[in-house]
Amino acid sequence: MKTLIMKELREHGLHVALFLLAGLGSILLLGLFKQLDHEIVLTLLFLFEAPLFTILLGHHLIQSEVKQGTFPSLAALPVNRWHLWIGKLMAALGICVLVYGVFYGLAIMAGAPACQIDLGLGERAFWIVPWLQTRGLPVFTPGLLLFWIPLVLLTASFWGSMQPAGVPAFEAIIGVVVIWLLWSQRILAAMHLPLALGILTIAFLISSWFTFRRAELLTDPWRVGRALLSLIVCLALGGGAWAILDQVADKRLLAGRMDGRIQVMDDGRGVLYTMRTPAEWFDPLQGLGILTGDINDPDQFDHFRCLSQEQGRTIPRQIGRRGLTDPLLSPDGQTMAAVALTRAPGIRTAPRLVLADRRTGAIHSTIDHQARPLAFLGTRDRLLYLRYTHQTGDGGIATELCVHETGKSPRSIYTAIDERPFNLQALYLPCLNRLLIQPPDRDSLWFLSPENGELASSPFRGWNWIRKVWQDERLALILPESEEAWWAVEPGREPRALTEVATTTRFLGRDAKGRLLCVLEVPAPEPHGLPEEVLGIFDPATHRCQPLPENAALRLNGLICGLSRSGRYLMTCPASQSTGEGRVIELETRKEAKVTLPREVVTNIYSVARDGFLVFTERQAWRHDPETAETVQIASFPEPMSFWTIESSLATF
Amino acid sequence: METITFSGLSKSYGRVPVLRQVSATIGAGQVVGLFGRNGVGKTTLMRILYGMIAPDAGSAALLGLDPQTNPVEVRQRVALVSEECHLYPWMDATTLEAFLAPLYPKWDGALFRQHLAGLEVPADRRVDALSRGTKRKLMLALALASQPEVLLLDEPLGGLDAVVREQIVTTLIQSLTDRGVTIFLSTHEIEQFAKVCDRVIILSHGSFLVDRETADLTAQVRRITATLEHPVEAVPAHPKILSARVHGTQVEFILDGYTPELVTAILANYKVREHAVTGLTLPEIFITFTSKDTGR
Repeated sequence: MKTLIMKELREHGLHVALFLLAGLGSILLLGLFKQLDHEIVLTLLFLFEAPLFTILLGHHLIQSEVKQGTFPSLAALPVNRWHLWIGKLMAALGICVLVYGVFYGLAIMAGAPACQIDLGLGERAFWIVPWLQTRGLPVFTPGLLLFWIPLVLLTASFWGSMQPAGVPAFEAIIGVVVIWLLWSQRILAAMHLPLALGILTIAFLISSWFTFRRAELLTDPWRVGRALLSLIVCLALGGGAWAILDQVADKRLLAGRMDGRIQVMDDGRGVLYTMRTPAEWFDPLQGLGILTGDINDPDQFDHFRCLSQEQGRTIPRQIGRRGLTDPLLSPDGQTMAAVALTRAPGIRTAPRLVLADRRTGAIHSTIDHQARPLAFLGTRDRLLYLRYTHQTGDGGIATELCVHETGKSPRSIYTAIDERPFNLQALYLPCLNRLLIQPPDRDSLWFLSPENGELASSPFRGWNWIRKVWQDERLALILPESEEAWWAVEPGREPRALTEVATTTRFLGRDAKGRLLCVLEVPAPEPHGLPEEVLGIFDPATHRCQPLPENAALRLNGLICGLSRSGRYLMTCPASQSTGEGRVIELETRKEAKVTLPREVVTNIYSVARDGFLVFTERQAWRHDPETAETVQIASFPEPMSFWTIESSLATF
Repeated sequence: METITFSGLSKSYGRVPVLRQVSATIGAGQVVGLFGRNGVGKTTLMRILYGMIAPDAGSAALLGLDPQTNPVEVRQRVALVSEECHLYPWMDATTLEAFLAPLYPKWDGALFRQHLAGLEVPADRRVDALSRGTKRKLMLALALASQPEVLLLDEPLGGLDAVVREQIVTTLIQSLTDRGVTIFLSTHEIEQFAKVCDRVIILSHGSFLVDRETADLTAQVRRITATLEHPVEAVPAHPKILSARVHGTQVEFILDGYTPELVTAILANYKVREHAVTGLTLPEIFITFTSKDTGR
């Protein structure tokens, strides 16, 4: 083996020297023309010169023997084919290490930052060539540039060198076309590149061995067929291994953190949310911006999963494949709109907005690309979503609000164009069938029609201005942050400030008689006493809140309250105390029942089904049914949930 | 002990059969000449025996080893000097020795340099700067330096001058056989090797037409020239007549398996004035056999 390797080194010594001189010469030329920028040096050395050398070296390994007519002599040596094959490969690898090492030194001398060279398995990017990055190419980490790409080029050209003259060139053209197609679809940017290149390397190695071993004196015309067939088999096996790894990664539900909103489903018998989990060492994909599909953060090696926790199950259940994120349940709870990031196993593509089955995650249809859902507009057939589109010409990004209706083409109702995408928020007001948005070029909120995109001004000054919203199909009540007053928005009337309603008022919902109940502060019965919180009613005619006389004795101080959808039951729990107890009051009869809860601070009470409640504590969610007096755990969360986290999730704001 | 054994070897290139179930056994120390016309498969047979290519059917063993399954061990003990020069053009003799010596357990550097001197091969000149004949001498020196037990020679005299030819044929081969080295050579130089070959194999159309001891062959193949009383049209057919010619009253035929009784039997129906029996040279025997063979 040693003698074979030494022979290869001697045979290629001149070529190595010439390439090293070429590398040095190109650096000197750059310096001469004052273009010695380390990004240009990296591009020149590692994206042109070194890969070219690697390809030529690999191709020369066998073709030189054929051209010199020495292959029969080589085949006649008292050395088995395995040693011949390994000897050539080892020598070529050694030469590549030498050349790349020298080029690395030249790059450092030219100002490139020194880096820790690892194998690209989840490492952070260090060498970035911006002008290539903006064109959607993968980020070239040191591991890619110095190890994986040279390895796959060497083994590919070594494989090609065993085939008749002209065939490798043809195969190279096909390879370039394939790479260009993958690049144009951003697929290259969204793969686990080291893993993919590793599989390619193994495929080329096995195929080259199979061809070399079987092709006696490289005169057999069928060796091209054998080479291609063995490569196809190896790639198929590699693809199978890739799919298996993807399945393994998909099934491994690692601890992560919740990301985005929580959705309540099945009448409170389950919750749906996104979990952000770290990628395994064999699983990381190149970072692909969720909003725009651009490569904007090579450090993004987390996966997003759609999880549900349901009554009767002790562990979360993954809905669909990992990469399904940002779920939004339809009003009927059967479908969800979500963002799908993964199209094929282990390949993350540009984000797609999809409609999927809520239970299985099976994708029914794709609505749009590079889009994410915002809200269903009243029915499951109308979906408001955000879309990002790169503009030709000046290269800006268009942020659009779009509406998808079943059976119709999506339509854009609002567009803003800038260098960067906007994270437009929108609040749907069903009482007006209008959206509240803040156009990027305006300082206040505007009403937007989802039907025709018509804009109309509103009295509200901006999203930071709004603290709370309560609404139903008849009325929207909006509380500004500045504690000025609640505002009422109703059809047929201009929005008006409710100066008679205290900002401390909390609206609960409508009772069985259709009255809008609230918790309001009333003056203390005795002087210098603390105000009391009582159950009240909002009068739409006078725009005032009055205490409910029939519930005058009901004191709600320091309690979190929730009103069932039927309006029959009121549930209260102490705020900021982990007593482990709550109360349910039947409003008509004033019957009270105790509810046993976990000893955690209750953060929210959410009404579900007709009479039920979903109680959120810091880390859990429990469902209580007043009719059956049953209290069951629905979910437990990996991290403490604050009031605002749940509130903002459950509200449409 | 048989050093070279092959049985039922067949090989085709595409649809063209080159070897059709050829078999032979060669003992230790024998010098066997394989003769045949251009393109009949001599080199193919050599390559199969050396394990460079695989036969389509049949088996072979050199020194008891299958060259397909034990190529390394076979090649360490068997040397092949092929017809074409496949040496690295950028190497010289010294570099070649450095490259090859570690691969052969019995490599003798002194013997290599001795052969280089004897064959007048410069040690420091690149292969691509050597003449064809010198390259062949270098290949021979390399093969002999490994001290093989079996030597396969494929056209060993190509490009060599008469002095070197004589040197190789008589001195070198003689000394090898004295050491018990088995030599299996393929060549067109039948006359040159006739004196050293113990056995002759003639390959034609994929099969062995002849496989005999040289002495037996030359003893059994004879030319009979007869003068008859009356002119005849043709010589009577006989399976042992390889070729025949008639010119008036002169009849000449070549007989394989000569015995006086056989000649008498063939000429029995003629009034023979006189007849003579002469021997043939090995080249003449080769031509006679291959001319008769039209392929089966």
